[in-house]
Amino acid sequence: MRQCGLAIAIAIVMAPGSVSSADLDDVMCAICHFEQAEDFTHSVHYLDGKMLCNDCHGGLLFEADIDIAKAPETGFIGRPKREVVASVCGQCHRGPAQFFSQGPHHDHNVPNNPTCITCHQNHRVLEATTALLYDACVPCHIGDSPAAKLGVIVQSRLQIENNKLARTSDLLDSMRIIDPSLVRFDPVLGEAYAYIREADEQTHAMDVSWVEASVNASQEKQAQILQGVAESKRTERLKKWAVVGVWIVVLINILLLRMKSQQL
Amino acid sequence: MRALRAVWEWLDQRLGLAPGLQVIVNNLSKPLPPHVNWLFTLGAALVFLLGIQILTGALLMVYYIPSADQAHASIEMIVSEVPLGWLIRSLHNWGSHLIVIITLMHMARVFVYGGYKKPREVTWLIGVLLLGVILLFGFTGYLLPWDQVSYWGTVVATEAPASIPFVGSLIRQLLIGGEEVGGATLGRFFVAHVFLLPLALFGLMGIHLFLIRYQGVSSLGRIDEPEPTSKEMRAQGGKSFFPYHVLKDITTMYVIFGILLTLSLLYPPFIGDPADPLSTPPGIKPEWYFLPAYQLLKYVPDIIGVQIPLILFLLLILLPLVIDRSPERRARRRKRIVGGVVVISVIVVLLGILGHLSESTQTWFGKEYYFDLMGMPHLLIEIK
Repeated sequence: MRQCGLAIAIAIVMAPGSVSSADLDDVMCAICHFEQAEDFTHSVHYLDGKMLCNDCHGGLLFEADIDIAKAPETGFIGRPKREVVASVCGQCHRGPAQFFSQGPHHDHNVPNNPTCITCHQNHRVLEATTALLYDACVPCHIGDSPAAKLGVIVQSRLQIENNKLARTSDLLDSMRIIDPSLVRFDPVLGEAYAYIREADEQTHAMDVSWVEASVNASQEKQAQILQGVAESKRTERLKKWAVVGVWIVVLINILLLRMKSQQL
Repeated sequence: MRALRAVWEWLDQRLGLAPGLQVIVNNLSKPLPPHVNWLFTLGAALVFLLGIQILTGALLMVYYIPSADQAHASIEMIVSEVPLGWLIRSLHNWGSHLIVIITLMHMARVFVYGGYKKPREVTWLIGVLLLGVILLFGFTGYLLPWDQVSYWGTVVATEAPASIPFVGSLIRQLLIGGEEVGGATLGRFFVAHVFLLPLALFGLMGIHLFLIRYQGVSSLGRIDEPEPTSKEMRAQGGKSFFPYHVLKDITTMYVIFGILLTLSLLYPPFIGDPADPLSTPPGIKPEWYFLPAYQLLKYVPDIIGVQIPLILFLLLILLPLVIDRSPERRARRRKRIVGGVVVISVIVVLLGILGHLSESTQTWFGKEYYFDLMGMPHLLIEIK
C-alpha cells in the first residue's frame, strides 16, 4: 500500500505541468497525502516554485519516520485550526491578513464566516485575481444582494485601474526610447503599482472607501506620469526646432567662412 | 589689442618667446600641396571631436559613480535630474561613434593618397596605435552604464581573449579582475577609460600632430623623387595651411558639430535595465565596430577567430614597413595593394552586417525573415 502510494505520488509529481523548482519528488508527506499533493501540484504556491508542505504545516519533508517528521519540535501543526488559518497565511500575506482582520468576516467564532481557504482554497490555491474577487462572493451572497453588488463594483474598479496602469506602463516604456530622462518616472510608476497592490489587499477588509482611496492615489501617480509624458512630447517637438536652429547657425557660419576665404 | 600686445611684450621680455613664435608662424604659413582637399580636414575634425569627448566626459564624471551598486542609478540620475545631463550623455555617446567612423575615413584617406610611405611611416604607426586606443575607449566606455546590454556585451567580448593560446585566461583575468565580469571589472574599465587611455591618447596624439607639422603633407610623387619645395608648391597653386586650410578645417568642424548635435538631440541613447549577472537577455551584441570580430568567432574556432583581428591590426602596422614598399604613392599605380585592402574591407563590412542581422527579425519587401546565429535568413511570413 505504502509503495502504491509512493508510485502515485511520483506519478503526480512527474505529471506535465509540474514546473516547480521546489520538488515534491522526495517529499514523504505525498506518500500518504497523495490527494492533497495532487491538488497542490495545481496550486499557485507550487507552480511559483516557492513552497512545499512544511511552509504551512511544519514538520520534516524528507523524513521517512512519521514520528520524527511530525515531532512538535519540528513546528508541525497538522491541519491548521479554523481560528489560526488567517495567521498561517498571514505569515507571508501580511497585508491581506491585516485587512481581513479589520473586515466583517474576521470573527472566526461566527460559524458562517469564511476564512482564507474559503475563497482561495487550501491545497489547490488559486491565484488572487480580480475575477476571484466576485466569484468568491457569489457562493455565499446571492446575485443581487448588497454584498455581491459591492463585489462587482470593486472588481470592475480594480480591473479598469489595472488595465489603465498597464497602458500607462507601456506608454512610459515606449516614450523612454525617445526620451531617456523619463526614467525619473519609474519610481512614480512603482508607487502607482504599490497603491493598486494595496487596493487588492484592502479588498479583504470589504470596505469600498479604502479601495477607492488607494485607487485614487494610484490615479494621481498615473496623472503625474501622463503629464510628464505630455511634457516630453512637447520637448520632442522643441528638439526638432532646435535641430533646425543648429543647422541655420552652422550654415550661416559656413557662409561667413566661405566669404572670408574668398576675401583672402 | 594694445593691452594684448603689452602682455605679449611683458612675457617675451622675460621668457624670450619671439623666436619660438616665429618658428610656429613660419611652419603654419608653409604651403600645402595642391592636391590637399576637404578629405584632409578629417584629422582636425577628430581633434575637435576628441575635445568634445573630453569636455562631456569630464561633465559626466562629476555625477557618475563607478561602482556596480550605483553606476546604473547614477546614469539614470544624470539623464533625469541633472540639467541637460541627457544631452551631455548623448553628445558623449554619439561623439564616440563619430570618432570611430571619422578615424576609419581618415585612415582610408591616408591609405589612398599613400601618405604612410617614407618618410612618414612613424606617423602612420602612431596613427594605428591611436586607432587601437580609440577602440579601447569604446570597449571600456561600453560597460560603464552597467545595464543589461552593456554588461552582457562585455561578458561576450571578454570571453574572446580567453581563447588566445597559453596566455588567454591570464589576459582575461587581468582584464576583468577575476573569474566573472563584476564590480572589479567596472573599476578597471573606469580607470582605463578616464585615466590610462586619455594619457596614451594625449601622448600619441601629441607626437602624431608634431610629426604632421614637422614633415608636412606628402606630395603625390614617388618616394624616390625629392618632395617639392615650398616655392614649387606655391607655383603649382598650393596654399598655406594658415589661414586657407584652417578655414576649411573650421568649416568641417561646424558640419560635424551639426551632425553630432542632430543625432544627440533626436536619438539619445537608451538606458536598459540594471545589469543582472543571473539573467542573460536575448540577442546580446557588442558595439557596431566590434561586430565583424564577434561574427567571425561564430564561423571559425575561437582559437583562430580571436587571432584574425590581431593579425589585421599587425598588418596595418606592417603596411608601410613590409607590405607596401613600392615607391608609388598614387592609388592607381598600387593596384595590387589597393585591391587587397578593398577585398579585406568588404569582408569586414559584410561580417559586420551579418553580425548586425544575426539573431534578429527583419521585414524586407513585405516578407519577414529571421536571421539565425550565422546571419542566414529564414522566411517567416509573407505580409500581404
